[in-house]
Amino acid sequence: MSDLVIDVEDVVGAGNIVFLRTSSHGTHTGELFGIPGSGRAVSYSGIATYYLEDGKITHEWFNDDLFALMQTISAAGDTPLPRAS
Amino acid sequence: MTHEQLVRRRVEAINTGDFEALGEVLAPDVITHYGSGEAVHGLDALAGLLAGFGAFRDLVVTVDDLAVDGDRVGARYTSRGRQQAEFLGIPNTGASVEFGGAGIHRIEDGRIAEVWTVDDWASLTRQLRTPHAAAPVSTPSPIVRSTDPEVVVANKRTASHWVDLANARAFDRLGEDWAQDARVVQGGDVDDVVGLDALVTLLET
Repeated sequence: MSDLVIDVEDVVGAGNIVFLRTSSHGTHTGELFGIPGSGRAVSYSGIATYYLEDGKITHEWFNDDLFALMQTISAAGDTPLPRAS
Repeated sequence: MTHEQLVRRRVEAINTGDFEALGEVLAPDVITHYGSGEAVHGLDALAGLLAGFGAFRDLVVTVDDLAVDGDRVGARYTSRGRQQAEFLGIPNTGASVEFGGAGIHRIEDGRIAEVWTVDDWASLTRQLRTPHAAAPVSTPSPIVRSTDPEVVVANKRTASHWVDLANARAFDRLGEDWAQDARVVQGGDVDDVVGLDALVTLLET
């Protein structure tokens, strides 16, 4: 996903904590989770939690919706699955 | 109810399956954005969504972090439970699972009007397919919680700026926003990334 772009949709902070809500978009070009590049467009959400101290990030709880990403690209090698209505 | 109480009550109501209590904290036309899917409108639609999680009837969600910022509340969760029925085509394993998640809640007129949540279903389904993969979610180290509004504004700017650097593939500049000994927690069954150098290596591959 060499063209992956992360859009920041919302920033919520208090104390030393910041939450970032993001929407990531890209093309599945290279191998990912053992699945070869499919050329399929991918799009998924994320809400990460950051702790900061002295102006620097000390912890991130990464929380992108990789389940949705894997579903999109694993369907790519087979006959395209119908979208859930 | 304060914004914080609304969000904590919502979690308690989900834990106990108390739809009446849920109806007291959510606006009747609440908009729920679950994962990367289409938004769900209203309480009735939400009940259907929650019923879909019946394979984990005893699931307990714990709030690990909470931040109130104007009309929005961010929360980080850990969910713990045991599979008791087929889930997403995975037969009942009886496995105990533990996975992370987070939500952002928008409060309007004393009710939660809109919710965005992402749960780590990638980790959850891995734990069901290979039950030995389950591992405790890392616990946070104690932090100093500043109440200085200027610090909060600067922190929000720093977190957003790191995403700008990632989008520009300027990984050599991550030290502007990240501490050298920073830790990235990836999920219940995946090792943490420890140190800025390790993070840069991961991002470059």
